[in-house]
Amino acid sequence: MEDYRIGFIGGESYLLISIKHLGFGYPEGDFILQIPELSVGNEETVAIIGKSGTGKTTLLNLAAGIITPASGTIKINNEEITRFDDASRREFRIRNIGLVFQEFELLEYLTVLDNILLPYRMSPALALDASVRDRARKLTSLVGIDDKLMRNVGRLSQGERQRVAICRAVLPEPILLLCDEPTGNLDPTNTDRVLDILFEYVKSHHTTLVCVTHERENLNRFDRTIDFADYQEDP
Amino acid sequence: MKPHTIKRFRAVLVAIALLLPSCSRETSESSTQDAGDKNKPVICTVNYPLAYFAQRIGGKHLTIEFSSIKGDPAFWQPKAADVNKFQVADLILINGASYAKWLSIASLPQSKIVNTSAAFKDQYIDQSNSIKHAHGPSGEHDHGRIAFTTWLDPALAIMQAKAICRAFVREFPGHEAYFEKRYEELKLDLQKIDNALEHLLSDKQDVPLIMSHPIYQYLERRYGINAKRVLGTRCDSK
Amino acid sequence: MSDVLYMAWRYLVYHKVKTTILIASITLIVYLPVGLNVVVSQSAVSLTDRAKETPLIIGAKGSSLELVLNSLYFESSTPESMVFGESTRIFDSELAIAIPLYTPFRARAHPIVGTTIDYFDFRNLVIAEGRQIALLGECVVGAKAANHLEVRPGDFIVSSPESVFDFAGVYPLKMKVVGILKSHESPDDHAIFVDIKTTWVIKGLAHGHEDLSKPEAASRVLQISGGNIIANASVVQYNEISPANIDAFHFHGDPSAFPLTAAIVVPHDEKSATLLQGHYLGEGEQVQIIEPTQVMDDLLATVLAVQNYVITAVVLVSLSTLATMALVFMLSWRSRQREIETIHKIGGAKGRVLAIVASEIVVVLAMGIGFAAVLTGLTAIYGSEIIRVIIS
Repeated sequence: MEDYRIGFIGGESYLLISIKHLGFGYPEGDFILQIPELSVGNEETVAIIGKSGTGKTTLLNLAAGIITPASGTIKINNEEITRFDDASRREFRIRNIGLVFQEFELLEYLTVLDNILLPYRMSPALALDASVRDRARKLTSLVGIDDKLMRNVGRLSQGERQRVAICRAVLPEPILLLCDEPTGNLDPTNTDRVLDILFEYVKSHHTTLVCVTHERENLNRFDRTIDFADYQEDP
Repeated sequence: MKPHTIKRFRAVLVAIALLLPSCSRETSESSTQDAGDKNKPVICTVNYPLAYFAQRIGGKHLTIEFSSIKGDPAFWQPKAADVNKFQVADLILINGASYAKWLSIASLPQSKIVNTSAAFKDQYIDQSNSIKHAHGPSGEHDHGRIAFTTWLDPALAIMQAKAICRAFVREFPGHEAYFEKRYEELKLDLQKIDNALEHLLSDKQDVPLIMSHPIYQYLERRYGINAKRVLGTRCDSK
Repeated sequence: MSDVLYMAWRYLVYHKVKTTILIASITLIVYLPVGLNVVVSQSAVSLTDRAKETPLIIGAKGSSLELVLNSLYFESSTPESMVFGESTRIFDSELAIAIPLYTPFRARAHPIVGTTIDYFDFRNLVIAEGRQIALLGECVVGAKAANHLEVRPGDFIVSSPESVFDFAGVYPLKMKVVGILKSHESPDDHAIFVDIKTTWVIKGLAHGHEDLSKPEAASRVLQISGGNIIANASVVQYNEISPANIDAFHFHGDPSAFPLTAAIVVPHDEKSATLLQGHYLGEGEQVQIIEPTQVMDDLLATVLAVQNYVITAVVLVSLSTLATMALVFMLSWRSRQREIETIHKIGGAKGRVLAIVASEIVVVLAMGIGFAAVLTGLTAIYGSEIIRVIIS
């Protein structure tokens, strides 16, 4: 059985993410994640690295409220999401947390614009109006895909698809951006471009960024790096 | 010839004249009643005798129409407008016995046609060996296989009048007594003519009677007239 | 709700082929039994109405259905003919009037109906343009036939030969159109009406030729004996009846023996109808007298029985099709698990994807039913015309 214990690593400033005594295990029972304490400061950019299977993605899912821990608390912007029910967590997530995935997770049957507007169509918590559409168009202009709005995403390159995913994640103006290996499927040129977009956005919008990555050459761009391997202990 | 015989002979000629369709008599006088009253049923006939019978029987209740036929009714060829007048009539009285050849080329409503001689078809005279003759400007012609001047036999004329009366009673209910009464009056008149002719001609069967026209077959047969026809006779010849 | 429908619509549009097949399947499942029912009902009403308007029909013994269909619709093969004398017999009985029909000929697929003026009054046919037929060789044309043949009063229609290969058969007759009938929404709209005698001319029972007694015709004369003139084969027979030659037309033989296809019999009253039918019960009778409504009722009973079998088969096929479609949607749901997961991850409301899929099903069903409704509507309007074209 693998068991990862991670110690206190956060700063003293306002904490956007505060995790305490977290315990999580999958039903199959072959993986357990235990985090005594983990914090991320407001507007901080944090990279999470480590071997595959160490629980990096699981941590992001817990922070996003996609899964719930067996024990412990998770606070996002002082909201203890571990106390929320499923519907409340979904609503909190779609309002406040933007997610970017390695596989992009776009809907093939929608256009670029429709994919970007997806959060607004998927939840009554967000209202789709002309200002939102306008903002979406501006975002696409910033990332350089404004000429492909009505194109189905299946016809885009990998880099363009990830830019669409980023636009989707940031359109609701979240306070927290969680990225799970956003450049994992991109070539170096697109990797740099995507990272530039992400950092530019979080800087201009004062957004907190937590990013799982395997690319050590870009770690220096982050404020802090959390290495899950440092805290791997023998059972 | 004795004087009383001459007198009787003249009477015969007068009687025949009353019933005879002439060679080329104009029919301008043949409209028996004006068509002023448009509400009355209209009866079209193919010749004057039938028009006369119809008028005698129908009287004030019917309008009898015969004026559209010009020239010899037996050989009249209608135009479409003429046929249309027959089409819109309430009844069409035809003579039968192949009279009016134009019936074979005209479109008429069968339901309105009354064949006044249908009841005595077995008494038609077959004249297969018809003699051609000519009169007037039309040239030679014959009158067909069946002799058609059925009304010249008063007994047959009465039957034709009876057919007309029955048709009127059937088609125009409410006037049965009126039609029947007038039919009986007509019948009486025709019987008087029949009796007169019978009396005149009964003992004259050996006396040859010269006929200018091969159309008196029914008259000849009725009274046993010893008729002699003149070949190639023209009405205008002296 | 509109977002859900929008998403459903986008999914259906993206998967065009699958969506088209699904909608087409629903359309067929709904339309086949409904459309069939509409066609059969309409046909039943139309057949029944036309039959109800026709009290009795007499014709040669044989298939009563063929006799009725030919007399009412001028379609189907021409039954055995009877003689015109049978029509006269009806009049002589004084129980009814008879309206003769002779329909073996056509002009460019339109039936030529030989009859009398009584037919027009019986069917309440009105002349819209021109006038009624008056003389031999004239015709009036039904509204739809006139449009199809592109004829107006003053034009001519030529009858089609009975057989292209029958060189000794009847000659085509050139007939003058004198009138066009007002549309009656009945088989009469497709017919060409002539006097019964004109059809006998087409049949060859009457003809017109040059006057053989004139000097100009001397070269056509073989022999003159005893008042009879015998002509050779070069004598010119007229194939058009005009005012100039109508006098020359004459019939050969006894008209009472001339052929008829049938005669519509209109009894004066119920009692007359019963008495008349009794006249034709004898074993030696050459003709039959039938009530069209009875024949049509029998036909409709058969049609309804067949319809029921067809509908049963369609329902069974439909059930299996629906089961297949349900499987398609289930497989589609399974293949969209990734989509479901994505929407869950970004915080989409629970059940949103289920709502989208349900909307897709509703849209497919609605469109399928909608198309079926449109097809049914078109069938209601044009179905009888299409069937008439198919049958002819």
